[in-house]
Amino acid sequence: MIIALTRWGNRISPLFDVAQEALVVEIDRGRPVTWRRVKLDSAWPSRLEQLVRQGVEVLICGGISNFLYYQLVSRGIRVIPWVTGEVEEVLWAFLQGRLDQENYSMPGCHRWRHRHRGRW
Amino acid sequence: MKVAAEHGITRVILDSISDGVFTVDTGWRITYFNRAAEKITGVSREEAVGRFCWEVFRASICERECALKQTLETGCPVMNKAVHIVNACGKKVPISISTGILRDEHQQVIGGVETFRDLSLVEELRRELRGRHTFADIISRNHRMQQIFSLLPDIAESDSTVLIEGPTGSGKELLARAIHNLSPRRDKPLVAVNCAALPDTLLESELFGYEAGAFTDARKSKPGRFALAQGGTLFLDEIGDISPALQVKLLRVLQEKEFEPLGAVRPVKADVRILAATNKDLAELVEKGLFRRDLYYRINVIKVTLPPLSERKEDIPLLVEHFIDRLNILRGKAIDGISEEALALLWQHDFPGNIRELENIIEHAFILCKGGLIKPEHLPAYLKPAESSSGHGIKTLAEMEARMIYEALVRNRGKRSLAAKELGIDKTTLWRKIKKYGLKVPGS
Repeated sequence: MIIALTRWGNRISPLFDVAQEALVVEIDRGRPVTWRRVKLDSAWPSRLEQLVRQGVEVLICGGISNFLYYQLVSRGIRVIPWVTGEVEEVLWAFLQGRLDQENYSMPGCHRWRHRHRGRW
Repeated sequence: MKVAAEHGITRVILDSISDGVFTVDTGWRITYFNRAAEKITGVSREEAVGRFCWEVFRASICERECALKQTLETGCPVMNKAVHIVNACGKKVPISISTGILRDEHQQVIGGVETFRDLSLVEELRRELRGRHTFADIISRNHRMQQIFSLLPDIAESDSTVLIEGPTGSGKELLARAIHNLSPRRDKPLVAVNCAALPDTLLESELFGYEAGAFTDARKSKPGRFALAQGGTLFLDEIGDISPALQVKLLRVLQEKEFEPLGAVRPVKADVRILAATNKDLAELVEKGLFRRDLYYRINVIKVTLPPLSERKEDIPLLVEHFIDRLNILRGKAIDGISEEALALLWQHDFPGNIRELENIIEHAFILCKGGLIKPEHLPAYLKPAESSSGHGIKTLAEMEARMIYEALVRNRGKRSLAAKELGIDKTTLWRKIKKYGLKVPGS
């Protein structure tokens, strides 16, 4: 499985729409095996294509506009948005199934989840 | 005591203004968040205070050009900088921000303050006036629409002629505007002409213009739409309605890249990209001899077909939400949303007028609904069950959802993954809903 985490310094980027970099991690048997830093294009169409080309199956990001969220989902990428924290810590939380803990959620994210319930 | 009272008064004042205000300490943690800030960001004060400002604010400038950071570093306030944030519903909100430094009584910097104003109304009005629509204005999570979205950036870049097919009210002009605004011609004009709205002779002079003296009363020259669109894009709506004579002239422009205004002695170069749209089946018109085959092939370089709303019903809640937000902004109302019963009524309707019809229905409801949720009684009478021609006995949203899932499964020959993709939901969600409604999967 290949997952991407949008990155701002050592933290998850606050907004996917303008994030400049992603960490693309290949996971094998629950452990990261390769790490790549990918500079994200500024225009949204090529940004989506980049993720698709990298074979990303799961995207973990901070805030995201609905427009880009729908685009990513329709391209078969599972998006876990409204995540906050340090990239490495978030990655391990994901691998250990702890990403739904409150300390990895952006403030207000329950409102987004409520609005998108059952839709995805 | 006096200080505490003053503090309380300050809070009341800050809560009563319509601009969002928040303060941060030197570690970028939010220390104060007023009521307007809650409303604009969709984040409550309880959730915001103590969190990093970028987690709450999610602005386009947080990463690279944080205005507060700039102010704290240089000591210079930022005034009315236009940016956008993404609120807790995932909606982009245009705002203007201003910043300042907070100091204690010893003039020590203790943090910063940011005020921000919601520019949604200004932005909406600007969009109405200038037609600056982007792909983000086309609201859809429908699989077919998403396929179109993924192709359009390349189409916009290509400069080829595009034929947009789709029933009336399905968003052909919006799509044309979005293509233009994403194309290299975006800084030049987009000129739209409805070919069905004008009689043939008038349409000819509208498109190509005329020279002074070309006919009686032509005292001054008038540039046509081709000339007005020079360097930009010409959108020819309802192209299936133009006469054979005009079809020949249009073909010449497309072939030679030049046109002749009425009464002109020499042709004029046309540096114009053509986007054409029709609600008719042009291929069928060609077969019937009503549309020139050579013109059809000239126009049909790239064809985009927009599905009718009846084939993308999963977009109805999103579109309703969008129209409510938009009308709340434009009309200064505070409608909270739509009730499940009213939404179920919309879901049962076939929408021959497509998205335009849905927009009109919501506009109708806005006149009757004074506040709270839009209910069935606020909807036009023709949608009510007694008069509904396509009720099929469905009364609740759950019944409608079950039917939509079943129909998607039938369309995809029982393949759950394809049905889930078409419905825009996860496979596990589909599985859960099949179980919940006790649906029998066709073919299994």
